[in-house]
Amino acid sequence: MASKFLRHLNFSIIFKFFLITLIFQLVGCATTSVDGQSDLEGQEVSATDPYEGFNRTMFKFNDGLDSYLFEPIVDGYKWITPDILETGVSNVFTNMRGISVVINDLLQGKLKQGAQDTGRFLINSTVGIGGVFDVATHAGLEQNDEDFAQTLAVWGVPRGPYLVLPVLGPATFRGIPGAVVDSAANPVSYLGWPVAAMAALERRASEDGSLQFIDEAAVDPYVFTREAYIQHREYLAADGELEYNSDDLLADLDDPEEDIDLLSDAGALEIQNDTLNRDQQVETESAVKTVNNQTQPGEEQDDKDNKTSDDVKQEQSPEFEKAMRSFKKATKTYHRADKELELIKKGVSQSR
Amino acid sequence: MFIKYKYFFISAFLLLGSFVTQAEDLEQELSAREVVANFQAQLLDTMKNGKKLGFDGRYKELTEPVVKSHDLTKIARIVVGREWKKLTDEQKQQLVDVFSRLSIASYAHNFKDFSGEQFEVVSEEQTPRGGVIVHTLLKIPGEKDVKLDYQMKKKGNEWRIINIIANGVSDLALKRSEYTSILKREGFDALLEKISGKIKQYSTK
Repeated sequence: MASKFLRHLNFSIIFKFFLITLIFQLVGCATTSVDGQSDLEGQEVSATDPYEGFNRTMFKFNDGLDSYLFEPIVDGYKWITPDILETGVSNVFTNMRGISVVINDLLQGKLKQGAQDTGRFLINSTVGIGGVFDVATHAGLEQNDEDFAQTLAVWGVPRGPYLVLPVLGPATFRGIPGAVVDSAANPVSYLGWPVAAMAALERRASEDGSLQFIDEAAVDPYVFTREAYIQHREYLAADGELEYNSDDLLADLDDPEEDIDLLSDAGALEIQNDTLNRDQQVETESAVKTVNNQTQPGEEQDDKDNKTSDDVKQEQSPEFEKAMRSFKKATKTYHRADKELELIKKGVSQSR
Repeated sequence: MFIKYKYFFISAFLLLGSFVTQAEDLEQELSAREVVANFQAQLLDTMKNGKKLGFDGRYKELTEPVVKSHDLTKIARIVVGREWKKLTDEQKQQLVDVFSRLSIASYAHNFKDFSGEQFEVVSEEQTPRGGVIVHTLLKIPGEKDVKLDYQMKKKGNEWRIINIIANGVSDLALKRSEYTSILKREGFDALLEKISGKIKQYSTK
């Protein structure tokens, strides 16, 4: 379910100079945003996201930029590019990142993985024709996900506050030097802006699935993105061997009184849920049925019925709307038939 | 004569005994691992008929498996955190109801068709608070395996899913951050409205 989204969550970044200027900008904005935040009712400043005010603004800005600029470009790119070519382009850029993966393997002391990733890079660059074909994965050398931000995490550098960077999106303080080092270790940075732009386009295209997933699943896209980003980054840094602290979420449930309360609640709620669900289904179904029934005989309709059904219409499912349409059509037919009947009656009485 | 009877009694006794043990087996609750495996099997079944069933069909088919394998009341409680205590009884019910439907709808939406996916239960692990984590893999042909870890808690005698951690991202923690944030900023009605909006979106897309 979340797989699409998670697979693409790799935000190591390319524009290093841009980033450095950003840090200065951010420090300026950050202080004001903390002040702004205390204005929010009862909203405490959280440790992970002290600049929430600023971040939310940036998030909105990025979102707007994305839907008006990047998304159309990416849609166009995906539309004109055949899937095979798209995968090829994506493979080339992934392969170029391979150098930085190897460096970070070594910096983290993962010698075996470093050797594997070196082999991977060499195979794909040669047999895979400059990385267009991901031969190595087929040969059993799976792609590892390492970057300098993860290396810093392994070295014990704290994550630091969460930041939403303009254009670049989610990051943490730790991620900024990380991104600078990674881009320095990526050939893309030295191949001129068209290549960099292409790399950015490819990155955005590969994230398309995850962005759609956020759009579908998130009730609060900002918080969703933040939590998913932070959690997934921690997971990567720990190489998937994360200690579960999800038990912490249950801490509130541990006081015994609450538990008793919950259990009695639970029983009642669930039965009701069940019946609620079913009742509502039955209700809408029967509503559709009665409407249909009413339309078929089409005899005892008057304006009152029309009004009440219009009122009901506000909480509607598509099926219900369909039923309503056919109901209205039937009412019209009925009125027409009624008029004709009147005419016939008149005709009959006249002929008498 | 006697001997015949003796054997009759013995065999009758044994037969009865086997019935009793069978009955006991039936009554014995499923392990956490089995609950997850059963649910995943049902999910796969629905995926295989997914296109034919359509959203409504999948929703109907998944309702019972989801309700039976998840502790939806507890999940709904956890996702609103401390705010739960501030809700009225009516609000609590509304929340659990709408949240249950969201959970089923999101399964029905996200597992809509089948392209060779497989689930594999890898291992089981006790947690400090008396729960169990069932580690599984979702295998999608041509893609990296997705790690799905199910956090389980006992509800009465039955193991129930209370959280799914996908590649390190905890669904419960994610929802809790979202929901508490909305509750604090915009209030209960806004939260319900947003969840209902999601359900509608799932059913139409």
